[in-house]
Amino acid sequence: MKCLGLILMMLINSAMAFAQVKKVAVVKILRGEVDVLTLGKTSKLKVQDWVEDGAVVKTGDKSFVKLVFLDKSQMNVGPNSEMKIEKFNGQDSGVIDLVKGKVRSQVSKDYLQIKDRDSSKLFIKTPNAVMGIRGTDFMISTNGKNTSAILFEGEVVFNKLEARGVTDSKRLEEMVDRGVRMYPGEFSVVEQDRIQPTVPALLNINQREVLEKNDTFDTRSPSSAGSEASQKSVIPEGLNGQIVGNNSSVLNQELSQVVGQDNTKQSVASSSVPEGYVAGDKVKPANGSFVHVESGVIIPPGGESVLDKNSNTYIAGPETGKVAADGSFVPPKNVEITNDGKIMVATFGTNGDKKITEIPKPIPIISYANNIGAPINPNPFNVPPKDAPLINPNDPAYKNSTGGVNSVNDAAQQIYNGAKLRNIIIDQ
Amino acid sequence: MSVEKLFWRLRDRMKFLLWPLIFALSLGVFAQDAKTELPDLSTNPIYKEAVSSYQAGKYQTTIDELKAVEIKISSTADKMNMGFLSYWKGVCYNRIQEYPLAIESFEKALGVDYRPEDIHYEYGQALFASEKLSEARLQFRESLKRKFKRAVSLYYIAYISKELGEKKKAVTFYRSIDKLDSSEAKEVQQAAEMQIGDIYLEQVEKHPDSFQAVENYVIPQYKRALNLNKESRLAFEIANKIRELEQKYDLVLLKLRNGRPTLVPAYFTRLALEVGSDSNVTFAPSEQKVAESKKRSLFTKTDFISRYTLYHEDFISFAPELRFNYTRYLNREPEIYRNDNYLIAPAFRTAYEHKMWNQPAATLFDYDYADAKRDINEREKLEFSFRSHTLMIGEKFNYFPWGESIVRLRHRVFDSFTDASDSKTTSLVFEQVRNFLTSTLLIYSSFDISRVKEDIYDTNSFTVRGDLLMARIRDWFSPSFGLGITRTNPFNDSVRGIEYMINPSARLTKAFDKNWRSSLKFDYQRNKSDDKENFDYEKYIYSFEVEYLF
Repeated sequence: MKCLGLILMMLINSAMAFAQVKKVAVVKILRGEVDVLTLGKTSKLKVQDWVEDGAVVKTGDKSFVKLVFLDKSQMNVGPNSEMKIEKFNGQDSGVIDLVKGKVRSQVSKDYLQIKDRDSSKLFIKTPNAVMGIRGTDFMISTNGKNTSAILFEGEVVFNKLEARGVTDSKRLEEMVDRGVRMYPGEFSVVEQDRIQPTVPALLNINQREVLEKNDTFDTRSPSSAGSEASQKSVIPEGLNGQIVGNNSSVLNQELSQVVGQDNTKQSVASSSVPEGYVAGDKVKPANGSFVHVESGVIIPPGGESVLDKNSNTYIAGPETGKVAADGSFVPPKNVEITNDGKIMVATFGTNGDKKITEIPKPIPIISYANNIGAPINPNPFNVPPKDAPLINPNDPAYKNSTGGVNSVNDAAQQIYNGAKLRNIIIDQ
Repeated sequence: MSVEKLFWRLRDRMKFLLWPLIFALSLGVFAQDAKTELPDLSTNPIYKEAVSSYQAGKYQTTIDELKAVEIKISSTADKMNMGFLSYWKGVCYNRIQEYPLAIESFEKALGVDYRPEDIHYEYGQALFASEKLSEARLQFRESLKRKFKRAVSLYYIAYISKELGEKKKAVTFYRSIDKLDSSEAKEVQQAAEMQIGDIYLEQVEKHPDSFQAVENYVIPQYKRALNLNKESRLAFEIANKIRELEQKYDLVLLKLRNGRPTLVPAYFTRLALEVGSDSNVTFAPSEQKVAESKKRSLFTKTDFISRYTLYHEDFISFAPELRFNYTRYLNREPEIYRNDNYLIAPAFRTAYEHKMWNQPAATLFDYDYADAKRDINEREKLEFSFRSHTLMIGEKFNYFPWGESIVRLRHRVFDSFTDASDSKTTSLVFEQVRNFLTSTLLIYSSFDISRVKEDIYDTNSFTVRGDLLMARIRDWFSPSFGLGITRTNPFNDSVRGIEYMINPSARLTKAFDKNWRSSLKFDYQRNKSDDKENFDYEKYIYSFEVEYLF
């Protein structure tokens, strides 16, 4: 009798649980292997399947799923990703937890109109960041340690996640309000060892365009989007990209006739200080930096980059790397960036021996002295080894030293590392 | 032919080439700026999408949209519209670094005689990046004629000429940049002067007596470039080139024969101003009795030292030195102000560099002279107090892996204003440096035998002192701590007994930049003596010092 009672109670509980579950999104496109975990049960997803509130969607290698939510918002989950729909009821702000991988989202404008314009309509959390969606088209990616966000259209607010388990919209709103506000074309990265996201900066123009078009995470064309023939830098030795760059005023003047003077305002966010800066805890990467989406590593445009005044962005030279057809960053030969953010450089000895060493992340800025001459960081991967001694640029010994690129790089690296160290101390 | 002759010939030929070039350039400058009649686009809303993509920096999208426009209007468009489309596409291709496609587009635009002001510059850049250097040079010449980015266009022309092996032409074009308005020329002038230096170097480097030409022409040329802006990033590169050449051609001595680097810079000059409080003003050590005032006074002290090190070949250095300091007490009571003093101390230091235990070592020989004046008669007037001559012979060596050691034998002849205090002191000194990861320990020890004219003041003393200099803490200040102990045996004076002096000190230094730094200093002295009246005393000195290092 007791046993029967227990079974009955379990049945009632299950029925109640099922009654509470709500279908929130339907699978529209699917590639490869995609699993869904609902109420402890894992199943394979198929096109036209429904995904419920609280479900966890997991994609395999080279897999992808496009979910269309009840409010017509789209959530494209990239390969090797895990995403939990924590809350999506259409009445209140939704909460999505991206445990790992990447998501491209086009949020419905209807959904955006449910509240006042200055509050987030959807939150996407990662293990260390939170994004409040106030716009329409963006990508967010995390490797569990770092989170990068790229905005294509609309507006988002982005910040470090202060507490992992928060699902309350009010608290999440407070968190994102203290963060950075991003505009189209910009990116920001929350790194594990920094207390705040990077100040939004404009993404490399090629990477932005390719990523924007590749909303299904198509990795089938791994070849470079750029031409293989164009390998030489446009900058002659001794000059820099600011000096040789053409401000396109002739073309712009002509274009103003097309749309009239009043409409010639740049529609792209013109993030100030295109060279970027490191000021205390604030790191503003150079406009035109690449983002290694999988790891969140920022690669600044190198010394042979040219400032395009039209987009207020540096266009990186061939020494920095290029963009693959799927929008991912392809580092130069003999450099590899791992998904956990390590930069490995292969060097060859005189006898052909290959040595692979890890180098620190490049300082994500371009630094010129008086705008004359080549920049301080001529090659983003030409940084001193990790164990290089710290040099104080004010130290007379440093001033009297050879003063070459390495010394300056050391100093700049120290300032950058210093900002990082301070953050660690504050974090603790 | 000597290098010098070769050089002058090269320069003469350049002059010969210069006039036709200047003429050609002036033609360009005075030529009518052939402005292209640009198409009226206000009637072409078809471009609107492309304009908005272009302004958003979406160049690939712009190209795709322009291609669509091209197809739509191909049957009806006039040459100008097609030319404009091609030019616009060319600019976009340049931005996404698709240079072959950019070249194709610019060629199309020029093919229909569509020539906006910057087309030759953009086209030249695409050709340059595609390594079509001769064609690129032609385009930059056109850009120059149209007065578009003249300085940079000239630089490209010169640079390409150098790449093509036409070095004389390259120098002439680099020199032409000087003739432009400074507003135009300034951003490339330094790089151009550096490039001329590079060309000079290539010309003379393979010659057997090239060092003369390097010294007389190449380095002065680099210095000319450097002097245009010593703070620029390029200045670092130029200074490095100069330094490397000086090293390569033995024009400066950078390393001594035992591997020890020479001092750079060769001079050391320091000026320090100190303000402090002394709890118990004592006599300067020009008298044998240390009478204490038991009075506190504020004081100011000015200290200046300057030294210049000269090298003879790579093994002997000479360093003349001058030191001056002046101390004034602000408490104007006679027993205090009688300690006001100044000191002038010239010295001459020599070092013979050699190796010991296969490590750099140096034999030292120094002569120091000191002349001091003090208000000995309490008349608020500085009068002769003492003079001294000191000879020192020593050896600096690296026996321990953690730092340098110095052994010195020193003899000092001291002439005081009171004959009774005249003395001769012989000292044996041992100093050791101990380097740690973030700090340095300096150990000083000496045994001094002092023989005074009035032999009751004869002493033998032994001093040990350690100073720990620490690295900067939190990028803010550098602390250092010291402790000295001296045991003095006045063996002819039974009243005094064995004396012990304990002297701890501390210093917090903050460096503001490479020149300025300031310190807070603390010094405690306690001399224990059985002669309580004359030799037993205690004092504290607190002070603040500002230093300027030249």
